[in-house]
Amino acid sequence: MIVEADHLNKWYGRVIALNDVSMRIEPGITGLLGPNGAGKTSFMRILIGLMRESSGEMRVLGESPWNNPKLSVRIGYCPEHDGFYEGMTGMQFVTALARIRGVKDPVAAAKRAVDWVRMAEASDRKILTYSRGMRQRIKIAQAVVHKPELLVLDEPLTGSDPIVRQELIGLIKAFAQEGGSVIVSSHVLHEIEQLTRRIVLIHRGRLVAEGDVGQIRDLIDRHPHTVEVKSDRPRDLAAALAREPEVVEIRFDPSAVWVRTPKPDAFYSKLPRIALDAGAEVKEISSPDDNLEAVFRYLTET
Amino acid sequence: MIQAALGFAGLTLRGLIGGRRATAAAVLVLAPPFFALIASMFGKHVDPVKLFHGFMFYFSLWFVIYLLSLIYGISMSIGEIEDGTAGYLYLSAVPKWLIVLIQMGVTTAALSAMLFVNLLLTGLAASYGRELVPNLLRDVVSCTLVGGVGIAVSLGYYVTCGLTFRTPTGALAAALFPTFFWEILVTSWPMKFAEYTLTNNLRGMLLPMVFNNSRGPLYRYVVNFHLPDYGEASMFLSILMGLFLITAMIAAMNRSIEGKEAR
Amino acid sequence: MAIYDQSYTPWTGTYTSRAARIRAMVAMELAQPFKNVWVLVSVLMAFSLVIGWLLILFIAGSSQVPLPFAFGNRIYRDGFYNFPTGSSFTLFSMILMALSATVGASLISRDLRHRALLMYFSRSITRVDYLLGKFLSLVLFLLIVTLGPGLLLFIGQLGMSQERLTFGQRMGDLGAITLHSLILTVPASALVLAFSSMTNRTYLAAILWASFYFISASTSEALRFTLRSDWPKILSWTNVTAHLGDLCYAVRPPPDTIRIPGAKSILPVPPAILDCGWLPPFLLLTGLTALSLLVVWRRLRSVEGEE
Repeated sequence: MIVEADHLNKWYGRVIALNDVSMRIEPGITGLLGPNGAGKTSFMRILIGLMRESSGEMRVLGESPWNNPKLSVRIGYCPEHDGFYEGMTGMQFVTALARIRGVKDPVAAAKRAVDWVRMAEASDRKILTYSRGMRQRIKIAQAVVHKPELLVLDEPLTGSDPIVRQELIGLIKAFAQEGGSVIVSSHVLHEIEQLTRRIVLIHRGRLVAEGDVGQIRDLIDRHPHTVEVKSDRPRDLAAALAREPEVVEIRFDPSAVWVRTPKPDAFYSKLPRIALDAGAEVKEISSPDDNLEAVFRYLTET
Repeated sequence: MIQAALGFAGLTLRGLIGGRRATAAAVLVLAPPFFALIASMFGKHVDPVKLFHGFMFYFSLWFVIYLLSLIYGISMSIGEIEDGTAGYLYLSAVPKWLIVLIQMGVTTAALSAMLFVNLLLTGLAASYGRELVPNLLRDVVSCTLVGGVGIAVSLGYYVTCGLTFRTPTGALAAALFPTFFWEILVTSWPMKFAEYTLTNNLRGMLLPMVFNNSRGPLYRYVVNFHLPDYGEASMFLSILMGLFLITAMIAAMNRSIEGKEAR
Repeated sequence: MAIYDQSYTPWTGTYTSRAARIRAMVAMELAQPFKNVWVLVSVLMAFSLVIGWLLILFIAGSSQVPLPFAFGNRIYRDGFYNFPTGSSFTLFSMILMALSATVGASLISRDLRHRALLMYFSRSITRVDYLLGKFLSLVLFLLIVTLGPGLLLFIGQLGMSQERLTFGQRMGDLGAITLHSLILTVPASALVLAFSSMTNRTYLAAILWASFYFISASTSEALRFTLRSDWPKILSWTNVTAHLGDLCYAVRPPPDTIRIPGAKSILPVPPAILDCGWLPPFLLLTGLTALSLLVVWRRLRSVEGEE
């Protein structure tokens, strides 16, 4: 077991960031999912020993992370926000951090890490001149320079363009293939899906679900979706839709029809023919449920 | 561990010489010599010894050490957290208490070196156009050593404030209040408590070295002329230094980086 | 193929006036300091001096004990704004320095840190609006601490004064208090804003302002002592503001000595802080204020370009 959390609680004054969280994380890549403010970063900070839990216990690689420098050098951390030393080049930054982590040959280790993240050409430039993707890569370089056993990445893909995103995903997978474990947080399901099938869902400080990503997807598909169809003749459209077996609930107003259906794919494929037969013009179709928030709502309401 | 500790020393030194802080420190270090030069060039009946010692006691031992320690003490603690680099430091092979100790040791040495430059230049400026101040090097070294103690004590306090308080404003208020209201106001008033200020204890330590233990008009702010003697002053300062070192280390061990300050 | 959004209609409303925009900025900034416990404590300290004096006046008035400070306008100067004098510093001016550092140091440095200048200037807020808004918010806050207690003391004196004054004399005192408060707040606000614009670290801006304050006094003292001359007194920020403040109260000049009915002792009038009149220190403060605002202006232009 890489991480074991037992009845973990963390509060900041009156705000509860983590509420009785107990979980076990196995070696490999694990995705930590949750909307903004769910408690992912708080959990990660306790995990790496930057922050102390208010109550409960956290064990990482079998040890408590708080005030434990021997454990700290076995973990690599890539924070969400940028924080660099002014005026340093990428290479200097990674070398300095390698040195304070006790790496035997920090210059060579930094060079290896910088090459691994494909930043060799830009490594002699000041970090202030780097683009967002380059900064992310340098942050990952400092996280891996000391060859940690566990890599903790706090929203590494946020704000990156699609090309950089794919590169970062490739790096994370390569790290895991070399034997390391990774805990990566995000609030976007499909980003995590590209990395791993193992997911932990956190919402409002509570552990909501953990397991395979396929199971989460099934949950999304199994619970009824709400679909909004804007039309010029909503009453006629509603009457036509009400006859369909995929529709479990329907309501309408002068501008739109709302439908709940457990089989959204089948519903979408039938909708054009139904609208045509009803003589209704479809102006807009939207579904507010096809996202993680909807899953959380569903999971927290059940 | 030794390599990591040396790495911290290097990182701390690098932080001392970069950015606006270094500019502010340079202004602080060069201001007294500049004004001493002005006084020396345009003053009438200027006594270089009095001018040099005046600047030493009214400037260097009274403000320069506090302001230098404040700039670097606050940036070393809460500045790192604000910049988002504290996370990297705490995830290292060195325990937090040792990190603080190394940072404070390196910073004290560096600021003492700045103080040495400040004092030497002031002495030379005071001697402009006249005979060099007698025993200049002795006085400069003595004051640097004593000032270094003052730097260590005040740095320890400011680092403790930075690591204890959650916000820069709170840390700065906690740092400024005793320094400027206690140290400056109380040393200015004729009261017995004046002997319990850091400034007067530093002066008490320096007195035997530069003035051959005589008390002259420079001590007019302590109207009751109750300066501690060398032994009392060194004991008081040692206790303070040890106390603030320990509080800084404890504060570092207990410091959580949480909330919006952490990045 | 071009795609046109037929649904967009441009906004045809009217913008608010410049004064309204500046007012909005001032209101936004003025609400912030009072959320800080330390600021509230400092404000209370400033008012507590005055409340202490009001109690003393009340007790003295009730017991009909002639109180030296209750005569003349010394109570505003030596009892409050210049209280107590120790070397080059007064307690009140240090409270003001600490408050302006705490509140004012973050005004621009915070926006620099969070790269908010583009956000401000992308709206219909000009650099002038921004600068005026920040400046006025700090001046107003500091006036609450300076003019507020001064006015409270003035009102207390109206009811509990031990001397009879004409309406013109009372208004003269009121004018002096107001002018003294402006002298204390306006240049300080400009300087603090200048330091705040120089760095994106609030604590560094606060330290720079505190350094300026103490170094000016220290330089003045050191030079005065070593040169055996009084002209370096003008280098001290506290001396300059206190001297100009004292001149404000000269509208009701005290006699050489103040004789109090029923009292055996007399209260000597302290000598003027500076030997020069009002013009040199006034020019010095005005020059510093203008230079500070210019520094802020130049910084805003350069940083905006960088962003």
